[in-house]
Amino acid sequence: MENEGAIQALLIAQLQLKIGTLTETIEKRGRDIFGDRNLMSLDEITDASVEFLELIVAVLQSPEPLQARGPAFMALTRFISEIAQQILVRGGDMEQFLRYIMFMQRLFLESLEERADMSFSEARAVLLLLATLFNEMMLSVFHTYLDEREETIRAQQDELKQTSTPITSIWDGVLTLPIIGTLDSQRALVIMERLLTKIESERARAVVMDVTGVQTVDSQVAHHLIQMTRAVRLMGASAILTGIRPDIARALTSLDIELTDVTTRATLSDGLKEAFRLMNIEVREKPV
Amino acid sequence: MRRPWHLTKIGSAGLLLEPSEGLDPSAGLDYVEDLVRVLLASDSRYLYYDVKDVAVIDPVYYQWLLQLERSCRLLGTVLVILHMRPETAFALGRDLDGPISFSCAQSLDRPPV
Repeated sequence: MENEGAIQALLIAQLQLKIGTLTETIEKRGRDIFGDRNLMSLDEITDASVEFLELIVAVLQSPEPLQARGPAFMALTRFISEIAQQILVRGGDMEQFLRYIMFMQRLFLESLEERADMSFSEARAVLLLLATLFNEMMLSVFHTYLDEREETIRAQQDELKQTSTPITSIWDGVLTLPIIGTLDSQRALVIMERLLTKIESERARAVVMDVTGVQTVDSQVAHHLIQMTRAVRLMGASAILTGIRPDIARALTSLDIELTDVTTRATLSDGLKEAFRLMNIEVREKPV
Repeated sequence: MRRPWHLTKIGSAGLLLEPSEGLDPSAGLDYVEDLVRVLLASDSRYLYYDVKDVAVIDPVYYQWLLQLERSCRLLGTVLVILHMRPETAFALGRDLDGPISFSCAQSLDRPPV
């Protein structure tokens, strides 16, 4: 294999020779792609172009340029990740950023064209070095993109969990829990955990659990509902299950479990009335 | 014999039982006779069993509570479990396969509804 040190020296010499043209071309392309869409300011593009070339030179000057844990290499990939993150946060497109990196790779190769004295093995070594370097940069962008996506999905899931099970203190000591959508085991456990914590913090004594919005009820969902009502009772509160449709009633009865301790009412309104009754609260229409 | 609990008279008809760490729920039946004697002597209508320091109520512990509840019922005393933690209720609620036969309350000043 061609002497790596010589190849690096060759590339550094060529970069330094063409540094002005390269910076200008990279900057111009950056302005075309990012400047028009306000993804980066003109100053940011200029600074990023200069810093990028400096980091590339630093990598080539390091003893082992492709050593992933090397400080120069890590600085370069971190720089690329930061730019990618900045573009993503501002609503940019990762494909365009990747194409920009590919454009820079091509630019580097084109800048070597006039080196007619380069042997085949030298050219192959240069190509291998640059391809590895730029592939790593593109991988950094890919990882940044994946991390951002995962973070977004996680945030959306958390938000959905919070909003899909709003446990509201509707009166002193009375909580309502409208359950909407699909109630699988995982969600049932999350709801149960939040509900029990809320009972403790609010010192609630009655909980109205409305299942009108639960789409499908199988025996497993029915089992979760019963578990929830019993856990509520263990906390010293009463659970009232409302909104039971025929299919839910069927699922509950098919479970073949004792339901004598489960209080049910047809509607949320009836459930609230029952909660108030249990707590000796009387709600009356004011005489006009 | 040193009893693995502490008893406090609450008002005229209540007794508060705070189990100590030495309580062995698997030996529940051995405790029942002693407790029944105390309940009869105190003429209590309510036995408040405080579980605030009980982190886990496993099936063995739950069986002990059921034994205690049955004994209380024979005497016309109501067993009320006090101060169950959310995490304890969460775990126990998942294990239960039948109705809860004892009453539960958040504290002495908040009786079960």
